[in-house]
Amino acid sequence: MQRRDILKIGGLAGLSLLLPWGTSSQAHADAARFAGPYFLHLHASGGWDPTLFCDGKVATENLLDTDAVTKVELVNGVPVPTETKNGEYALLSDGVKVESPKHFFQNQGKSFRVFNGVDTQTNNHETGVMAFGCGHNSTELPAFAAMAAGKVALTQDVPMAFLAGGAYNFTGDVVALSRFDRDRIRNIAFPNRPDSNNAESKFIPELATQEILAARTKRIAALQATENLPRTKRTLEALREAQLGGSGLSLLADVLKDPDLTFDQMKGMLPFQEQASLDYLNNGNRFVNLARPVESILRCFAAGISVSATYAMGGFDTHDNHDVNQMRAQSNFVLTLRYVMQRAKELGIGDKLYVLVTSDFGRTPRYNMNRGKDHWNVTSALLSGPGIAPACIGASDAGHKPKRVSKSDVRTVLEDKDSNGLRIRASHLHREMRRILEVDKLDFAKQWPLPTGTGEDVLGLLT
Amino acid sequence: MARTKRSLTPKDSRGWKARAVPIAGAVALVAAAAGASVGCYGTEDSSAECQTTRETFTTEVYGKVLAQNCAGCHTPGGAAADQGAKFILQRETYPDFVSANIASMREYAKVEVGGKPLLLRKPLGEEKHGGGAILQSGSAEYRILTDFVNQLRTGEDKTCPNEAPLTLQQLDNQELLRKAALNLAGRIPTDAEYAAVVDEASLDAALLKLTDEEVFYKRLRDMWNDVLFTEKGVDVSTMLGSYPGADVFANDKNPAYTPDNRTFANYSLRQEPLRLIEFVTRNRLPFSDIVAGNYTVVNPFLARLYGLGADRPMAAENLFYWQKAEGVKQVRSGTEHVVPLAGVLSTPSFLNRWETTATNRSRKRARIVLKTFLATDIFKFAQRPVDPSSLASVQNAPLNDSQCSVCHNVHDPIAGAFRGFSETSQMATFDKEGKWHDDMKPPGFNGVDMPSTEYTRALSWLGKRIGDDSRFGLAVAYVMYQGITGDAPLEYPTDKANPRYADKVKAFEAQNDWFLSVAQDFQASNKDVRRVVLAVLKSPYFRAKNGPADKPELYASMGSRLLTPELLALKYQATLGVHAGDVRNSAFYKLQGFKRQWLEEEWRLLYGGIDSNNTTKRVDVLSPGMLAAASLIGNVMACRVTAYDFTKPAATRNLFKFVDPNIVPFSPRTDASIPLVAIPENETKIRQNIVHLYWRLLGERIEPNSEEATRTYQLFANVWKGIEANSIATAAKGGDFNFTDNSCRGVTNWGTVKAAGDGFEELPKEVQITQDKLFTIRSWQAVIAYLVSDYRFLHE
Repeated sequence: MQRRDILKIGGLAGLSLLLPWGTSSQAHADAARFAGPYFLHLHASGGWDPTLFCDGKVATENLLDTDAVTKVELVNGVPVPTETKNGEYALLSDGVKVESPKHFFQNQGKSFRVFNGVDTQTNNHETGVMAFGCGHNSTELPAFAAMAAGKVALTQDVPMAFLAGGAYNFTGDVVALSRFDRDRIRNIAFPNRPDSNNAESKFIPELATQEILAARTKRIAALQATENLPRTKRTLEALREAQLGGSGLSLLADVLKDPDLTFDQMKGMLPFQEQASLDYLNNGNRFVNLARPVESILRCFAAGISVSATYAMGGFDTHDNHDVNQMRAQSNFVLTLRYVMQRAKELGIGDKLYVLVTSDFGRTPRYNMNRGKDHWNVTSALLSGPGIAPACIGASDAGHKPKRVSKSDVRTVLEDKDSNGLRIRASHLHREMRRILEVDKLDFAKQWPLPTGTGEDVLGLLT
Repeated sequence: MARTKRSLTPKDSRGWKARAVPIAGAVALVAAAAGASVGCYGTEDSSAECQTTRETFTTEVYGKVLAQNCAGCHTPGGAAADQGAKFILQRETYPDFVSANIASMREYAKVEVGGKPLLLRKPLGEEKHGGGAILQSGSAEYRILTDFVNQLRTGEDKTCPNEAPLTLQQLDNQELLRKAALNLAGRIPTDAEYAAVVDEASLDAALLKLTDEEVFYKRLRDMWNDVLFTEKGVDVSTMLGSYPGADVFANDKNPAYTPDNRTFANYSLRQEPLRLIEFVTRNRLPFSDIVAGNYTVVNPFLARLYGLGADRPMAAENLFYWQKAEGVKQVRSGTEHVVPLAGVLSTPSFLNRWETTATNRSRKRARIVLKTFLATDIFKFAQRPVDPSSLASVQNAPLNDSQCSVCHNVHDPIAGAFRGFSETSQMATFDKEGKWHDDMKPPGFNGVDMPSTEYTRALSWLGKRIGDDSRFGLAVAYVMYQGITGDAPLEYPTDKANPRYADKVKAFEAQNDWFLSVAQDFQASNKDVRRVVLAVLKSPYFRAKNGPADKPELYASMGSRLLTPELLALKYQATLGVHAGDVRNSAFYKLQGFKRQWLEEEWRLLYGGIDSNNTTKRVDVLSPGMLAAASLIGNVMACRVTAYDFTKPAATRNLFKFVDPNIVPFSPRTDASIPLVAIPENETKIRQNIVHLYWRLLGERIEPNSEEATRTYQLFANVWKGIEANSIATAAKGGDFNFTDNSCRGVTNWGTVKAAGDGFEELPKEVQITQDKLFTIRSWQAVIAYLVSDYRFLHE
């Protein structure tokens, strides 16, 4: 039975009994904790160059000559660049080795299913962002992260179900969007405390908070019975939902119960223990600062107050000086991704976490006049999570043009002209994600259909 | 085409029949007796499912046939247009695209080959159609097209009898004035102002008067930043070597350098485009000057940066002293040059916010120019799956491949107007001899190439043409509408399988027509942006109060909006008379009376606001975290204002005009075993005050014995009873007479900051309230906390 059905049956008279928001009712707090699975969408904003990472290409003259890759190896089936003319290939941040794709896919990244040769059908940032955010590149659908949270919100009041820090956050009202601010957590966990650390401090008498909550619930019901204009109905419903979700906000305090990790605690996570790398990443707390936002998201998951999150990191739109700028952005991004995978295990949610990794699109195989690379519709995406076996699906050719995958067996790569195959699109991936997270059966998902038509056949990308 | 029985003046927009209801307590919807209806223009066909020619075009022909199958090539810049096709369609982003397209089809429908209209042959692939066979002869789409072409060939428009009009309850004059005053001026109208709005003329005058107030200009800046995002700003250090005065602000070895001056210079740069818009509006100049004016505005800090003179010294107190300026200078090869200006387009903040690269070639800037000032979203021009194989085989695809040229033909000429501005370092100097790219469409506008004699001041040339274009008025209407109502204009619906598709199209078309009328009025008023403001305020999109439950798509975009953090901050101050923030003793905040708004600072993003950089979309519905933030700030405000308001004489109080702290709901007791005895005359006063609070805080007129008043009275009484019982229970320890927090005592004047800026002033001892002996103040505090977190406080 869904929560909305419960409300209809239980009636509003009894509703206030379920809403001891602002109290320390452990019974309700436990009921509000969401136990997973969780969904995190990490996006490389601006358009990454997957040939540097998971779709490596051996350089040819004036083509794909980023760092002049001389060798590409399969690591768990993923073609990663491993050598350059100067030696071992690594992602460099301002010349300092930060991570190597080989090391990543042998360790924290080994659980990913990699999709190469994905055709975004666009070279436009907004279209590419939307395609990977929701699965459609011409109609704005709710972000998959929002849908995953919306599914849970149908039956459970999760206070900050959808944490929106990513590139695409449209909700379609299937769930409320929450922005996260570490510095304000305790304030919103305890909105009646002048001193958020002092449980005895109050702005207004505690009994008044209960009376206000009950009165507000009746007030909302009264307004909902009479107000008909669409925007009023929409905003009223959001208020009602927000009040329901607020019942578990005191759980937010759990997010801060442990201190932040220090660089010394984190440095064991780094693949290169060379002093130059450690010094670089400790300079200005660079690594700590990179990790902090995703640490907060993971803690929200572990505390059971969030279902899904989007998070984006920029710096990938490297129209100039691609080799330096793209490498730096990708180093930071992959480091963060490593951190997510490792830290999730430490927090006990590693086996309950789906992680989707995307970018707007790819980058041209050739350099422009500024040693930059422009927009290219072919890219890669990664997904890991419960029940998803590691693999590499799809491919691109030596010039980073897409190949197709067989409609009957996606592990079989076909040439681009072969009518037995299809180019992988974001919509294919989303159709599969909807299936495995059981979003596709929900009424609201049916109201937001993925594209149909030529090339949109079901591809078993996650089977 | 002829359009009958349709009035689109601001007074009767959308053709909806609506009338204001009596002030006191009326909630029933008004049944309209007569009037124009949505979408019907005549009386020829009386069948129940009658569709006019125009309706058939919008709901059937365009949405289901043309947009999908034809518009990709047959639009200006498209492949068909490039190959000389005579049949050209306008996208829905084109003003009055419906009339333009029907006219185009009507003309083309006359062309026959072998007795059959060419318009019905080409889609089948006949007569050398460049796009081949687009439709099958037996398809539903072809039938729709055939029926419509045949209808057009009769030479007459199909009209229908009036539909039953839609009904809509609107805010009455006083309610509208209150809502507008809060939205635009951040205040509650005075009693005299309420009394004065007795008819349309006096209402118009009162609404327009709001646009002369200081807060309006702040709102105006916020509205335009919501589309320009120039508050992201630019750091003056990036201007070193390029601007005459940059060294003063960015070089800490310069004798005139101070950290404050650097802060003020960056603030000024950030503000420049928005202050220019304010300047144009404040001085009632044609609003097109925001892009067409060959001037900008500077304060003494920018004057120094730009190498200009100023009639006031470069001092903190002159930070907000903005004056018109021409002749902005840059330094190039050691020599100062004057930069040609084009309103906001040539400001460093705009150029930096919409930065470009050597391969982007100012196309991003062109996109923003099109969207913000020409009401044209280039992203909606073409559905275009880009195929790398085909692109790789076409030399210079943006110019020569129709997949690309459909957009590039439109925005590349505009991008060319940014010639001379650097493509690598945004703050590098303007080079009037700078070359443009031969492999792009030449600079120009609307199909007209820019004369080469204008190349040295290309952006100025463009700005003037934008200002003269009819789409500029539409763009201004879009921005002001969004800023005031909080909603983006409706988009042409694409979900044609939706069973309510026809209603969605009607709503779009009605709003589109309304926008056109507003734009025409703007144009006719010498581009007076205040005419647009007035039109929005009086439209059903701002004024609608309630409507019927059925056909919600027809009422899309109507109803209450969630207040932005900026609007909510204004509302706290306006309704409670108390500052919703703290005091900061710094040079910057000193200029604002040392007051710092929480919702404009640390709570802005969490409460759904924007930072103009990474976060540019406002959240428009509450989440649990946002509600918690509103509750927290509401609790603080209730704490501050309740006892404080009681320290004033009743006549000057904002909130408690009808009660004093001694107005208790029950007789005081000394023992809990004594039954509580209600005091009816006190209950009457308390209810009277609740009625006052509902109007002041929520804009809602209720009766003293209404359900709302009773619920609020019970809240008051229950809290009172709880505290009283606790006081009796703790009598041995002195009772419960203290406020829960010291900030809730009536000892601080929360409206007045000390002259030194180190806190709020203390109230005179003789009026201070330090205890709540009769429990009423804490009970009222609960009522205020309840009301300022109410739906109607957080939404308008």
